[in-house]
Amino acid sequence: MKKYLLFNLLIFFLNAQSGIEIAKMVDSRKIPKDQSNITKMVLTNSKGKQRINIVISKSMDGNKKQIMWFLEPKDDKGVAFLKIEKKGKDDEMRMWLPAFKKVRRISSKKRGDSFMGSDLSYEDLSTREIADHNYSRLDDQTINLKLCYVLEIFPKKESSSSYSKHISWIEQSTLMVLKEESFDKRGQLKKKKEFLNKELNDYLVMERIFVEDVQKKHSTEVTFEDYKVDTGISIKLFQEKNLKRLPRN
Amino acid sequence: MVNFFKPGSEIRDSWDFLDEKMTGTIDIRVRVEGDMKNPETLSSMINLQSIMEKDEKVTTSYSIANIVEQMHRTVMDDDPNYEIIPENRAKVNNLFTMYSMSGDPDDFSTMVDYDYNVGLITAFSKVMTTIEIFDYVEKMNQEVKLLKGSDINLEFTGMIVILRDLVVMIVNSSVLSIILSLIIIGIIASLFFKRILWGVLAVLPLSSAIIINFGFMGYFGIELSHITALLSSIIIGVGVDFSIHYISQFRRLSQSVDSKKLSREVIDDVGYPIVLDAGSNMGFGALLFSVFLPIQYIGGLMVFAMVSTSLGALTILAASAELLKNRLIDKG
Repeated sequence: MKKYLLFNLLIFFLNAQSGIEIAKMVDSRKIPKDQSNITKMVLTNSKGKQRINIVISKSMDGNKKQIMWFLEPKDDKGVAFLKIEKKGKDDEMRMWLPAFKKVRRISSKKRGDSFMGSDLSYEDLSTREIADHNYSRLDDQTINLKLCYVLEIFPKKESSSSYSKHISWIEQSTLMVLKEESFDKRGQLKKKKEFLNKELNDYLVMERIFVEDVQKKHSTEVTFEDYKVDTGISIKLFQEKNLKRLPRN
Repeated sequence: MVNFFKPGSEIRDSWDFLDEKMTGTIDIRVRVEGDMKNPETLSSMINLQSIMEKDEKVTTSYSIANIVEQMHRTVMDDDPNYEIIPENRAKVNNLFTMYSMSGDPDDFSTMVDYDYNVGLITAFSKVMTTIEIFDYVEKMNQEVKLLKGSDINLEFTGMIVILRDLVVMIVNSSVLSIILSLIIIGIIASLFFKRILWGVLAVLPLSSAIIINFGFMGYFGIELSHITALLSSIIIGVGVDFSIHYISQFRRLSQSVDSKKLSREVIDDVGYPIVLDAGSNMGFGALLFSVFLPIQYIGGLMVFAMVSTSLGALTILAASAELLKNRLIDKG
């Protein structure tokens, strides 16, 4: 009987990770060294009108370094964008404007600014630093038959976040986020995000992101095609001069 | 609209402040259909804006074309020489794409639609008189016609056009309602007094009062605006009573009084009550002290309507009835 109780207690403690422990588990998940894909972004406004952007994207260090070349719309073909996240500093963002034959720096003062007119902000796309957030675990829930941890995430002041809170549903077996709700500074629901993941070369990568800005009634669907991981992308790729040349693949 | 309020009143002072210190209170808009990334379309918008701003009362204007000019300057190292529309579509498109990398997608939503097919020029003007509004809208419509082409379609609109259409609509409908009211009153009087001639005579003092009203307006330089046209129709409502009093008494006494003394007897009987009725309604004169000028107009007009229609009934109607009494009594 004693043994049975001890066993149960051990199981209980193993299952009783705190919010921050779960966040650390998610953060320590194995990620590819580099990634490349063709990203299709469909923006839909409240009247149902759509804009479609297709870009070639290459990134490393968990998207902290990213370079993109526009393929569509046709008017934008040749436009390219480079982003390098720098800890404790503003992100470095540069853009190649082929019609002007100039590279221009893009302002990155506000992390809540929209990325490419979509419902994803630079903050949504950047890595969430554990030290800059407080975590609180809620009751576990099941989404699409997948048992999930549910975390409340509160950005600290130093994170300069545009949000007051996130609620994330994290699949327990894979530690991948399946769903997230983000709340604005007034505590009102701002965005609903859904994530679809797939397995690729021992990694779990995102296949589709759907974001709805419930306040603006605007949505963005991002799908990733031709996904490749660990292809040996060199750090030298993330240089201004490479913006001017559309890659072959 | 601003003239509805007396100088010194709070609302008039606020209005004047917006006009004198800010960009004005009347908005003017031009809807532009065309490719909003085409430099020719954007240049046409800039041209139209400079024409719009030539009027001394128009203080400012803005459109997506101004934003493109500003972005162009920024990309060209903030060189003021580049604060112009770029020479080709690819450059314009690059500017929009660059902005979209970090700008809020809603930033341009008041100036251009989601597909960049419809743009809006917005201008602000200080308060204009009805005549100035008519002149300005007419002039701008001419300019808009000149700029229209196969690739671009422009429509002049905004509060200024609404005001113009409102004035036209109210003036036209007021004139129509005055004419219709006179006809209907004439028909009702004809039916009740069983003679068409009575119907004609019943509306005679009213018609005279309206003609005198518009005559005075012309003489004193009061504009025929939506307010003055609307208020003039009040005369009909308040003035018809006196004619009916007079005609009823005339018909009643015609049964018993000699025709030679008939008009004198009628005036002796109803003259004093009509004057008293008109006098008591002078209480409406209190409205002359209102801060809201249209209420003042109503007060003044009521006083004028009482005087003109009561005098009309006792002079024009009485004289006409006397002249036509043989036809009126014989068949009455």
